[in-house]
Amino acid sequence: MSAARAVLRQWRGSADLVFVALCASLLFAVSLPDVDLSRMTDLGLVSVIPFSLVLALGALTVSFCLCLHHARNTAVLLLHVIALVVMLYGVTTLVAEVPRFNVAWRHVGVADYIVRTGDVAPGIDVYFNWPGFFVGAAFVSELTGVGLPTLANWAPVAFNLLYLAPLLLILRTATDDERLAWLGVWFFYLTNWIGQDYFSPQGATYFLYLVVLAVLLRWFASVPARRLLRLRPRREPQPEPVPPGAEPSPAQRAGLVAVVVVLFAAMVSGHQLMPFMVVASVAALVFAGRCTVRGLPVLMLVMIGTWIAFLAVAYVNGHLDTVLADLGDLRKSVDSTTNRVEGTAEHLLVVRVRMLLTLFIWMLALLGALRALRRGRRDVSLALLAVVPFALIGFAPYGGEILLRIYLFALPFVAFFAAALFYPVRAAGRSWRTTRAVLLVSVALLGGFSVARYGNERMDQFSQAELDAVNRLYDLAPRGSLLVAGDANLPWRFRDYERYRYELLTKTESWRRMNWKRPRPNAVVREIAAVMAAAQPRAFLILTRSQQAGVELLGLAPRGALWRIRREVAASPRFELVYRNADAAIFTLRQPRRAGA
Amino acid sequence: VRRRLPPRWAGVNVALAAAATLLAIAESQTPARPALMLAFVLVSPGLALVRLLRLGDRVAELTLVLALSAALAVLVPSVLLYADLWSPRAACAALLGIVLAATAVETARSQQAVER
Repeated sequence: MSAARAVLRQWRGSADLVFVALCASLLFAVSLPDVDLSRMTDLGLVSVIPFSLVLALGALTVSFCLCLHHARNTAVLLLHVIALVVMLYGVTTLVAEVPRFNVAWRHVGVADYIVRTGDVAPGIDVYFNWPGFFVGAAFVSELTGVGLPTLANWAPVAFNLLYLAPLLLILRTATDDERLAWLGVWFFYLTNWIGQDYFSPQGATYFLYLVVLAVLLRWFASVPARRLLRLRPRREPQPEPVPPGAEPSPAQRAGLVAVVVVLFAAMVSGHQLMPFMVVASVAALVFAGRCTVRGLPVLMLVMIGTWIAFLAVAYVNGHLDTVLADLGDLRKSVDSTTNRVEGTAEHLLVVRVRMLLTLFIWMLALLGALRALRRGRRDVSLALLAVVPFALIGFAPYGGEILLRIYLFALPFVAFFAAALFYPVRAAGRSWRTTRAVLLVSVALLGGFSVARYGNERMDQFSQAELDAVNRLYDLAPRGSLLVAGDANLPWRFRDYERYRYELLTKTESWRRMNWKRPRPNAVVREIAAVMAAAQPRAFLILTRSQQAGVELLGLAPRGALWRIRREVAASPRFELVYRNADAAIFTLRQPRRAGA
Repeated sequence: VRRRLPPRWAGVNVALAAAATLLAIAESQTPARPALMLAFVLVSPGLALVRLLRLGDRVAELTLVLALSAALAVLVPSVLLYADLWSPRAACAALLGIVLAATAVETARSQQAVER
């Protein structure tokens, strides 16, 4: 209660800015009903955001910058950051009819399998070989009685709020200037556009990644006697930042190492890539003499090896060739990401905004690091942690996502250096000119974030009608049926995960060979009819609005292509319509008439 | 802020863990269940263990409480699952055991300090 009283006391001291933040939050809340997702274009959410919502975000940003300028207390800054997180990461949760993003629904299905069976099935797919996150989600859902889709819906807000404390802890190890730490946190949330914070193992383990690094930087930091780089700053060098607080006792150190081991064990059980990223970061700190727990990287590697050898062996045995073939293939890693740069004109604009936003924050960070160095700061540990993720570039293409993951792993440290451009040392950045510059950059980042983060929203959002159709599909399809969709972009695989087989029109040979200038959709229909005819016991084809949006947005086919196929299927004597609503249709093959019937 | 969490939190924490475990075992569907269970899973085990470290930094303690609790909410049910003993109620009871054990150690240490 004393903490609550202290917060209230701090708020009373900054009543003006607290009032602005609360008004901005209220304006945001009353603006939400005006967001009409059905009118969204290929620019995504930004195309349907009402002006009042922009005003709310703008007011919050101005208020935050004033907080920094007047060096207001922590509680007021905290209020602004929490409001920002809820606005930026909760907007889709609050306006969507059902949870967004097709992969999140698939993850619901994996956790649902564990709820139903109390077991994992390593032979089905990779998720069951690193099931920690899904086991945890199943446990929480069972214990709280909250459904897995509800957990999935709130995951982005929950994860981003969880990131806040370790972020602050990390940044405070490098500075005792609260303005710098909070602006770093602010920039992190304005640039975390890559959307890995959905209901996913990486969203959850990223929190543990931050905490492990926070513990090592806070309690196990050291400054090497000999420096690898002898950089001569323009001014007298400042002493390297010493983490606040007393030196931990041997018992505390042992306890903290045990905590790190427990956190890492949870990460090892939950994700394939994240533990390697942690090992790389910790090893970099150890080799640079910045971490006193020198044996930790080896222990971590042993833990990863033990997991793979005993509990992920089913996956590794079946995929070792693929994993080894991609290892170190730099071109494949880059190509697999740059191949994503295609689609409609508006989508290409979104992709360009993503690239510009990425380059912009990296450029700010570079300038910030240089300015801090010139002013005598040496933040070697954070600089290392900003650079180390780039070592992953040749590790594996990771489904075309490795560059996105690298961006995410480096982001807390990049955001810190971007903030250091404005507040390189305590004495700097007290003028209104700096505050105006922070405001300008924040507004630019906010605009970029709104486009970059929610640029795929036309395909990522699902309607209640689409979900109803998928539920109807599972009701209709007997166990073992083949379920076919135009594209993977629909809310499916969340029920009876192991009981169905799946196929996509976009993966068929006739789709790949299709000349879209003179399309012959009947070729695709014929091929898929043949595939469905061979399937036992039955096969169903589901076509939905979001599939069409995905195919168009990503440039897999011209506008309306999937609906042309749907018309062809509806007109074909081989198919019959078994369900239809405003956003979806389900077809199956006509059963051959029995003789004498 | 350089203060330790006040000692009464230990009692509140044990009460929260015990109430959550009772609710789980009784399969009660009270409206308070989601909030109570979520508070238990995300806070209780971590709070009991982090108090043993006596770190004296509130943001650091909060960070570790959330992270340790989340990690244990993954690891404890996972151990039961791989041992073919999957049961959310058993996992809940195991977490209660961790809370009780850690609180007992803390209480014993405090008593020793008082006796000295």
